[in-house]
Amino acid sequence: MRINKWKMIKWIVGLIVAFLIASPILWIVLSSFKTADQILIPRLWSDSWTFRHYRELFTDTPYLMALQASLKLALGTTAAALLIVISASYAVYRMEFPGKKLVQKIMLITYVFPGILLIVPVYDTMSRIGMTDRLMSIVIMNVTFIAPFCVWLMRGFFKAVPITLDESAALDGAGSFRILFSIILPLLKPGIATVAIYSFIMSWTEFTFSSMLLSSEVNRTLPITMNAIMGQYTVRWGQTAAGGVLTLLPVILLFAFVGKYFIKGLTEGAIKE
Amino acid sequence: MKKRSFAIIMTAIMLLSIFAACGGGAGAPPASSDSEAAPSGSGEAAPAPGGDDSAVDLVFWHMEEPPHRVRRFNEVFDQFNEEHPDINFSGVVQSWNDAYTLFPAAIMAGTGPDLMLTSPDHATIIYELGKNQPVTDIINAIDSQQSLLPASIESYKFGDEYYAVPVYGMAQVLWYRKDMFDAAGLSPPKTWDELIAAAEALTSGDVYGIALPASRTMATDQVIWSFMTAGGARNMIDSNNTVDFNNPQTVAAYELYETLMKFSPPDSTTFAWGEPQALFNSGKAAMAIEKGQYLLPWTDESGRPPEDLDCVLIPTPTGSNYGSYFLSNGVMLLSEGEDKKAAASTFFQWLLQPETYGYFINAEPGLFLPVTETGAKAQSFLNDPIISQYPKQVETLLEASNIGMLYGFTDGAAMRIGQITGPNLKAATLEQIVVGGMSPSDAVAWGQAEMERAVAG
Amino acid sequence: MNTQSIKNPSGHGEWRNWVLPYILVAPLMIWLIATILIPVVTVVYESVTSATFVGTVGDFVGFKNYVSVLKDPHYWAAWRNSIGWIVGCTILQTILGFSLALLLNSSTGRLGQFARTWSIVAWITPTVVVSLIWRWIFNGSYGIFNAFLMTIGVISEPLSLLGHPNTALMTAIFINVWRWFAFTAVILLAGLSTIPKELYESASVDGAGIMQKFFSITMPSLQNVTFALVIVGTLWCFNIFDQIWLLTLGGPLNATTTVPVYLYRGAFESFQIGRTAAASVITALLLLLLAAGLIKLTQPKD
Repeated sequence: MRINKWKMIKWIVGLIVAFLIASPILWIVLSSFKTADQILIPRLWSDSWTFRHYRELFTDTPYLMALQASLKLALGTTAAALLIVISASYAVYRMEFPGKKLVQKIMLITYVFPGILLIVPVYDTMSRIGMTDRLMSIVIMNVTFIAPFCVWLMRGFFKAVPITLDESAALDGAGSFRILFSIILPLLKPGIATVAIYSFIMSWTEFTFSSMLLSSEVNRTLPITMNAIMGQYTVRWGQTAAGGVLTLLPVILLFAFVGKYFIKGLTEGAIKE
Repeated sequence: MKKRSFAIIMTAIMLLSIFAACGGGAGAPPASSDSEAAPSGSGEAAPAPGGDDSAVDLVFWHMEEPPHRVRRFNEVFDQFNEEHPDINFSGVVQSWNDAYTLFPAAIMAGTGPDLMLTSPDHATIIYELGKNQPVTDIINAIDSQQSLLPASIESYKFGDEYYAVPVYGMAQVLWYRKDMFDAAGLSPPKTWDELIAAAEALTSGDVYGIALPASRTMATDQVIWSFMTAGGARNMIDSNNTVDFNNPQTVAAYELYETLMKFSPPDSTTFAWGEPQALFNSGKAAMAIEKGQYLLPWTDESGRPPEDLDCVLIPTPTGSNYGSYFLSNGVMLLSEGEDKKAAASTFFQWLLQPETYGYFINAEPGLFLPVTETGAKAQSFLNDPIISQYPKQVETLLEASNIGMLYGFTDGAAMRIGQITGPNLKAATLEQIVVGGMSPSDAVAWGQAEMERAVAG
Repeated sequence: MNTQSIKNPSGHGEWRNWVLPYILVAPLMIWLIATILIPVVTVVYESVTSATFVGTVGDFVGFKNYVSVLKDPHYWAAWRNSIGWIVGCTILQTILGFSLALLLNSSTGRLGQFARTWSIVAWITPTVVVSLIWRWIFNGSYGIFNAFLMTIGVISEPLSLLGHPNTALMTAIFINVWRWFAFTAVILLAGLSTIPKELYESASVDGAGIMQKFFSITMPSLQNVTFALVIVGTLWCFNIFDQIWLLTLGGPLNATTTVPVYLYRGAFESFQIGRTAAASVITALLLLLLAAGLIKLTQPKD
């Protein structure tokens, strides 16, 4: 009796949550296939459907260029974040050194200053060193906002690797670098995957700094191009909806392949393998 | 087995990442001429690829982001470059969002462009940086051949000199759905009373008589100004930066707006530009006050013939003495040096000649209106597939641009106008009425105080 | 700290082992200092000048800007909105996040696996798209939300959720939580999966109900995770700007003007860089206090 009641509740809550998550996305996907005269009628279905918005998106807008820029940016961010996060978290979670507390405090401080106000000084600095309109500048800013959280993420993964492993390796005469590369890194694979996917997605969705620092067409990422399609003075609903879907689609595809590992990494990282 | 596939994916991600870091980071710039041109800006940076060393580089920042506008602009620029091998003109798209924030920083840091699209109030802010060059000679040269619309240049006259070359204008009119008016047996309104009566008559169920923006945005600011000028409140601020907002005509304009809000959707407080047009095209609103961007998507989105989209000048209290919001977008010259100025002069004279001008401004047909007399009659303007479908409507738009004016530039240039338009204080005043429940006269008094404070700094 | 330093017994790595941790954290530290600390110093400098808009250099004005900000009722109104935003986001996010985490934790099989992967889809949606979708859905005339409610007869006139000052902040909170709660859930799930099953089993033997188990086993075991979520989550949440700006621009009538929106307006709409810099310094100090307080309150007792 009792179990059935809880099971019922579970299903009901599950369906509500599933509806909550999925319906807005379903709405934009459906809208993107509606013809221009149907798209603004507030109902789920349409009398006529079209691929025109997608065709226009490919022929009339720099969608493919933006996709390329977004991919470059996301992969660049991921690579940089991985290098920095893994080395820093190894030091923070595996070694004792004076000033460790300070390192952790500095990481927390990055969250305290309103990011929005950094825009002007960051722009100033970037333009002084000739970094505006370079994807590299966004890579730099992305890593700043991603790294502290990722270091924290790695904590569980490092904890899962017994410290005795390091010690016995050290007893065998292995240096710290060898311990890191040949013993610990392979065991950290799920953590590394998690950090990589996290960085990729954060970079994919980043808007504020990209819109400020990137200007030329080849460097504009998908969210920025998307925002431009909406445009000043007039909104092209069909193209905007299609653009929204195609901004989302690449990460959905990526997630179809690696999503499992991301969630697994996040949820099972803390358990010893 | 699972571990194996995981390892392969991981390695692939790592490799790709590193590849991209090289490709996306240090290796990126050669991929385009744009990214090369943007940071170089002024100064004697490396010549753009494809040009010879002696050619003058002109980098132009504009904020016309929608892709179809970008494409049309680039076509025109390419044609110019082809006809002028001694000049390298390159357009770079920017965003209006950044125009007030990062452009000043870029200009001061020396990474700004040679030429920059601007609006009059934006120009006053850039002017304060002291980097823009007078273009009076260029204006005179163009005016003698093409005859420039006075309102289009007056708003760029600071002191004795002109500081931007106008490239296109925009004017507001009252758009109405002829099909809905005909069905209700109404004729287009000429006076404020007729406007209110029509809005009321056409409101029923989920259809609204008019869709007006009431958010704190530039969209709202512009519509309020149309009502203000139509109602005779034309000198909001003078060239000494004295604010004259709290007057009976302004209060009357806000009273009209408040009345019309009853016939505008309840979520008007979130509307900017897109929403009224969407309602209008989908038959949920019978009227809207906007610029010429209504022409292009009309037949597609409404499923109606061109005749059903019609417009008249903004109604006035008495049906005479019309006024309207009019904005002329201009281009500022930011680089010193005679060679740059000469090249810019060549460019503008070429751009504004009737043969090329129409094709350029029809990047957004109807929204971008000619600022020259010759342009308004040019075949390159009138033969556009969209413009030619709406001859009567285009005529009304041109008429509106002839009688239109812009806040801050009606009685000489008020150099502090940016302090009022930046925080959208006219729209903020409306918000006090529509959202805050203040009476129009109290709100306008509040607006006067806010404006005085903003102007004083 | 339960980690121990690694001693190299062979002896000749001493110097290397001493310097190695610094080499390893150096890239991150240099990175953060270059991108955060240097800009922050610039902001602190600007806060005592009369700089008007970006690119200008102002005169030294002492603490005038600070006084002006502290006396500005709009600034404190923005704090009130920010606190509403943080509290609303945290509560709603925790409820929804916990529900989803418990659901996912008890779901196995193909459906469970599928749900685990795809529940996070809102989080991978860029804010621009999130705003587009929800503004469209909530629109009074062409949005499906009002149309649906009107069809089933719950309301007779469309609700202006984002356009009314009483509901705008709540609606913005809901939309932000929509994007983030699944991510919260997954982090909580990480904590949940570390709780040994035997704990629940032995509690069941003792006759504990589901609710009892939740409060006596689940909650305490999640201390570490919730600690991080509360601190980082609160600060993150506070600094969210683009989501609010893209949805409401801080309106109507400043109802959604949180502190970051206030700062943006001050710097880029009213062109008061100096004064806004002072406001950001004050904000950062207050946030630091808030963070310290939260750490004191929620720190797990080890």
